[in-house]
Amino acid sequence: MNLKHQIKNDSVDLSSLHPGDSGSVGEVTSNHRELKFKILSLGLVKGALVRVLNIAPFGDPITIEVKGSKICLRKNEASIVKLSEVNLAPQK
Amino acid sequence: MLTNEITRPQSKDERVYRIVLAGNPNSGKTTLFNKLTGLRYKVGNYPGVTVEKKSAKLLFEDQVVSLTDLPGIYSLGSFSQDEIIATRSLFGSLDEGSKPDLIIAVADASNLERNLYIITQLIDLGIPVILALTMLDTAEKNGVHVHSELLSRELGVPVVPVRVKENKGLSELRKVALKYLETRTLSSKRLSWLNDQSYFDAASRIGKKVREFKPFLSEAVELSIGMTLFSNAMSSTNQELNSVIEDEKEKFRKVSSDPESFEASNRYLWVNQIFKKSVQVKKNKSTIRDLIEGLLVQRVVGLVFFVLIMSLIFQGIFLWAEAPMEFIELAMGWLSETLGSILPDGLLKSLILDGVIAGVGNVIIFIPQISILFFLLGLLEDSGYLARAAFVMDRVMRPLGLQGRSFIPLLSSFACAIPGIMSARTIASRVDRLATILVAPLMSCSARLPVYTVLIAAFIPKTLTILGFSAQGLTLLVMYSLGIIFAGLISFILKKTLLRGEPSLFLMEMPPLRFPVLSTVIRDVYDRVLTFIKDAGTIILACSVVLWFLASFPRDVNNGNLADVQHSYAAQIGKTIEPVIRPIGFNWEIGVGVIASFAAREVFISSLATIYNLDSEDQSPSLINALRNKKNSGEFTLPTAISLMCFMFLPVSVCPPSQSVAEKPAHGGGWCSCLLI
Repeated sequence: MNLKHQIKNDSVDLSSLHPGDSGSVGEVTSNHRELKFKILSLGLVKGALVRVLNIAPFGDPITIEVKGSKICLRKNEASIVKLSEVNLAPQK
Repeated sequence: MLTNEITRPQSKDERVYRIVLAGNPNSGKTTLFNKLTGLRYKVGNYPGVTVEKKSAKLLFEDQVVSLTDLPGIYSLGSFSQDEIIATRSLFGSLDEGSKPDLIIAVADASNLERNLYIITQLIDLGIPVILALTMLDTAEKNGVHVHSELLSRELGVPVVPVRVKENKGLSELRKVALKYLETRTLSSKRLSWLNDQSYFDAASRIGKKVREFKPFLSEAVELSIGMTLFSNAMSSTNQELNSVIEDEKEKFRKVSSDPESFEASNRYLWVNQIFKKSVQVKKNKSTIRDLIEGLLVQRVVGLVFFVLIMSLIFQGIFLWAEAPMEFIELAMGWLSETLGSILPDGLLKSLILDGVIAGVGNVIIFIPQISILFFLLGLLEDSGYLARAAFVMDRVMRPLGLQGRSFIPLLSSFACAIPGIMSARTIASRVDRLATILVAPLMSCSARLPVYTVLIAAFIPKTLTILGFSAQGLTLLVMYSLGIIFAGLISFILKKTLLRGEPSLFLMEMPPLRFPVLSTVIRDVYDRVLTFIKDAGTIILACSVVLWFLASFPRDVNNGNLADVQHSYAAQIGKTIEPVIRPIGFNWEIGVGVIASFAAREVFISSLATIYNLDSEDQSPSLINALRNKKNSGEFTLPTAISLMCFMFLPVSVCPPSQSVAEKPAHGGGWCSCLLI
């Protein structure tokens, strides 16, 4: 985790990234119809690039950047976005 | 309300064409609407300022059109109320069969890729579309250049860049709109993204089924409705329809394992192609803005800033408003004295001095405080900070059964519960929306501020300080905090009992951080204060006069003079309920005020003013001094003041206007009778 590297792993989801990390969206799966639909229409579709910008002072929610826009969402909402590719930022 | 004031124009065509403005939240639709119509609806830098549709009739050259501003949407799907209003208007199912004749799609050039998603859905609707491109200056600043001709070619619709502030592109927009109303040309790129026949067929079949139930829907929107239902973006209560949808999805699973995301994924692929072909992006280095952005939500700096801002608002209300308030007080005193010397003694003089001037005057005096509150809130909203505050606060609000987005409606409720409740409509999750609406009236609205102010000024010494803060300001802070604590408690209990179960949603877009536009904020403050004055002029004046009557009559049978307050109707009423309110330290005068405050909180002050003015020997002492005298004579004590303030923040008597407003976003169902508890 200390060096910038790429991993390919189906189990990584958006909520586990830190500020500066980025990734490519894989599947979006949820039984919550509304949540899944909203996530998709905001641009978190398969193949989209996503980057984590900030984490709120109390550790949740997070702000992400996707398709040129900033979106904030809770970690449990972000966790339905699985990543097909992850780019970790170098740790300070 | 302003619709009728626009002169009834002469039209060459008898028909009134329906044009709607649609697009993403915070893309500048309302700004454009205001510019085109000359109206002045509230705009803001926060997604979801527009929660209802607004229409106006106006002239595009010599053609009468009806222009409607819809709430912003990210897609044709609908879950929250504002989304339902927007999509139903577009589908033509809101007023049966009244489909728009033309859509002016509005897209934020600085955030074009995401904005194009809904635009492509609008194009597919089978209604002529023209695209207004806004926020070009922000885009250029961010290194984004949009080639509007290329964009127009890719989308198959005309693209008109508009710079609302500089009045550029508006006449062009009108001209193009008229042309497309006439030719009714649809985009040649309609459904370009759709490369799968089986999906098309499935969506068409669902759409046809919907039209069996709703024959007023036009054939053109059939496919879009079908796609929306197929993507799970709209729910239906019709069992027959739902089983058709499930069947179609089951069949489609052969093509894609995730049928619901088919439209979004494929549409975004097309959008991405359009974006790449028509937009040049020069990557900017990180700017000061990014740095500030990071600091505002940073763990320590962000929190300190948040607390500072909130304390500034409460201290500001008290300290900055002091001088103008004193001035108004002097002016009212002068007016009352002057009129007193002109008018002959009698009923009319008593009515004007003790009813009208004392009543309304004691409300007008709070205009400085209310203006400051609206001004500071306006600055925060327009700068984009309010959304950051929601982001920072979400985790804190959650254990209370609320969420970050409840923060803004609750904060607005400090001004008045009505705008607060209205803005709660944008909270997508039903349970969070209900919880927010139900506790919003607990926030100390500006109507309660006069009550607090008068009592604090009368009972807390001005010179007293605690840790360098004025004790008066701190007491106010405590009163406000009590409201907040009770709100938290009640919403917590609601979430554990009545509103249990459904998961809540936070998900929202962060508006850009920017310097607030002072003219917008000031105009908004002006409009809101004007509304407040109008209310003071009607409801409160009426209440003051009724109270004056109750306090002055019946006339003394012996000499025909006005009654002594002690023997008036008001006293009779107050004294009847006195045994009930005595245990909490209220006397009959307060009892009368409390009854009056059921109509509107601020009436409490004017009614006390009326009663005390009538009761006192000298002409028109200010209410604060009257209370101080009562305090000195031991008739009115600090504990009484405190229990009175506590009474005022409890929703024992929620003002009727906010109840009627709450009924709509809460989806009726008697939820708002809860506000009476």
